[in-house]
Amino acid sequence: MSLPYLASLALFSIGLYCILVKRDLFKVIYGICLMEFSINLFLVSLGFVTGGEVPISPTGTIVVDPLPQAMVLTAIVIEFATTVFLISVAIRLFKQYEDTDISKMRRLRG
Amino acid sequence: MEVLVHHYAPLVAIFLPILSSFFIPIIGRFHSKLGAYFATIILLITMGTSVMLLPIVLDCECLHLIYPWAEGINLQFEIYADALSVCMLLLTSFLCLLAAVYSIHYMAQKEGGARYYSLFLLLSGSMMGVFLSGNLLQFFMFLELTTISCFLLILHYQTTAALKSAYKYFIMIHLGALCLLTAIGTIYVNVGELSMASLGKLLSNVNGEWLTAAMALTFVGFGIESAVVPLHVWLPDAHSNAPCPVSAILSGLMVKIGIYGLIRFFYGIYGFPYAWGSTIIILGALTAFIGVICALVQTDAKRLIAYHTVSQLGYMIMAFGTGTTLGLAACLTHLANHTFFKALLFFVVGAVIYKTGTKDMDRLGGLRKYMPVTFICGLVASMAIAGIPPLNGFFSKGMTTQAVFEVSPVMSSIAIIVGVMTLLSFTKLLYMIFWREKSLETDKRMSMKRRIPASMKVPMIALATCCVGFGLFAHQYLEKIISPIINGLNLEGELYLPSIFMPSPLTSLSYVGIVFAGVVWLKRQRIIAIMSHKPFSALHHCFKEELGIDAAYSRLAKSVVSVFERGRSIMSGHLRDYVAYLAALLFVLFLYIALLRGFQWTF
Repeated sequence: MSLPYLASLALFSIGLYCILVKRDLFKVIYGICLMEFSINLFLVSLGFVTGGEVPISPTGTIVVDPLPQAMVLTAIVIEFATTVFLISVAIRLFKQYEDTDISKMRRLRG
Repeated sequence: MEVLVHHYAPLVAIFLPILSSFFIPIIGRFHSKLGAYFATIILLITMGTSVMLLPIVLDCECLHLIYPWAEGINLQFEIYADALSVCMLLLTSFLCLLAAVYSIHYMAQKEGGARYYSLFLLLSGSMMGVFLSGNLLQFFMFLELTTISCFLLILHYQTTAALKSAYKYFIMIHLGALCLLTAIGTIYVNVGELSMASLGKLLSNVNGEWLTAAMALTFVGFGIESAVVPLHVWLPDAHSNAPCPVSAILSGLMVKIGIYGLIRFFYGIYGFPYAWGSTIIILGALTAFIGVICALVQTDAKRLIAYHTVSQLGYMIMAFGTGTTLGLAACLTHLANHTFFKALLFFVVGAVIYKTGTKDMDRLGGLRKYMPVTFICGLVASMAIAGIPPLNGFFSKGMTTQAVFEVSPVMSSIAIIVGVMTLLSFTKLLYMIFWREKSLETDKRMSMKRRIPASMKVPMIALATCCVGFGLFAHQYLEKIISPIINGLNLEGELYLPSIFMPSPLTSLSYVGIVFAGVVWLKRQRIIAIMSHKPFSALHHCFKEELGIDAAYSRLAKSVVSVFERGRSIMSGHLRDYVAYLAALLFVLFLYIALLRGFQWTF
């Protein structure tokens, strides 16, 4: 039962670890994607009902909750857009610095 | 008291200058002087409206106009014009008009003329708004508008000194405004009313901790605005670095908003706190004294005059602190008189700067022969501020001394000592700029500069006429103008002027002051020799550094800055640090939710 939750927690932790530790810009983006996936997994598994059917023209009375699935479908599309945006910014940064090492991009320093 | 409900003049007085300030940048494009003339005409119309209002309110009627504004929070756009408001309005429009005329040539060679006149009109319109406001929030909003426009006018020359002093002005005045806003908020939360007219009735029989707090905050707020020691440090810097017409407005009107606010709030709304009277008088005496001793040692002419503003404001605070009818009359009379002679002094120094290009008194001298009109105006103004009869300063200072004497004789002696020192420092000003044998430096610069144009002479002569006229006709002035104001504030009491021919011991003491100053003048070489010795030169240095008050503020500011400097290392610029902060926050939120639910997880 709690396996999907543990899996999403693990995915989230891997993503966070990736962002915190990796210095490569594209690996950071992979980390962000992993975190997004973990959230999607979490939301979908929230709607799971034991013994439930697929909510498309069900035969029985017990169906899984369709709402998180619809939400996650939307979220995936948005994630696609944000990821494309992130990558385009990353390409821009790479052209600017001629490097993908984020520890060299410190213009935000106070 | 009869209440009129319809009159368009107050609205014109407020909104005509404010709205036309937006058109100045457009008009200034066609011709460089057109903006100046336009501003002058607008201010002339504004002055016409305030003259129209004067006979109405002097008959003890008052205007109370209400327009819908924010109905949801019980707030209307209210215009409340009684005798006090309209007299302040008249004073404002008169001085703004003169300053605008003065600026036509004075500001002509400098850049940014359109910006200057635009802000100038905005400042005058918002000052009228302050004086005509009928509720507290509206008062506060117009007050903020004056602060912003004045801030921009102070930094008009954009030198480092101007930027620094304008910044200081902005910060300090805003601290004052914050105090005032807190006070207004306290009143609104507790009473649920912002209209001045109804607050006066509501608060008359209310008592409470919150009221005392609101009163203290109001006093601090207006204390910063009217430069009560030790909150005066913005004033000398701002006044000496602003363009001269702006200094005249700052000194003649802006600091008076503080005094006006004190009178409005403490007499109109709270009721005068007699328990605080002695504290206010002592603060006023301290302000007067510290202002004048700092003024004595200045060599920058504008800074010297600016310190005298502090000192004269001390007189007004003292008179205000007595809480008597005579004290209030003295405060108001001195307020108006100070506007005339202090604006005149700034105009005179402006003319000197126009002619010679410097305001450093050490480099000036002998100008008496080259600019006789300016010299005579300066002489009139100096005599007026020093309280020499029969000029206007004598009467208001005499009234102040008399009013303070009735409450605390010790403090009135300080008022007399300050009067003597004022006389001494203006003897110094006139001697160094106009009287002493001319130095070479002045001569060289003289040939480069032009004559003083009529547009600068006329405002000076007008103000000098006011100084003499309000002195000669002081009795009529008190009877026709000041009495209706006092009656408008629902105060009763006997008003009288000190006579020139000494019926009271106090007036005779001011003659002793004149004699003392004369002795100092005759023995000046000897005194200068004595003063250059050790204990005096140390004292001189101490006064010049304004007794370390300004330095104390700088230290405070530096320590605050250093605290925040330490916080800068949090923003390292590393992405991982920022992500770590976010993750830590997420973890804390997670923990919080977990604690709320008592670690019971049910899926």
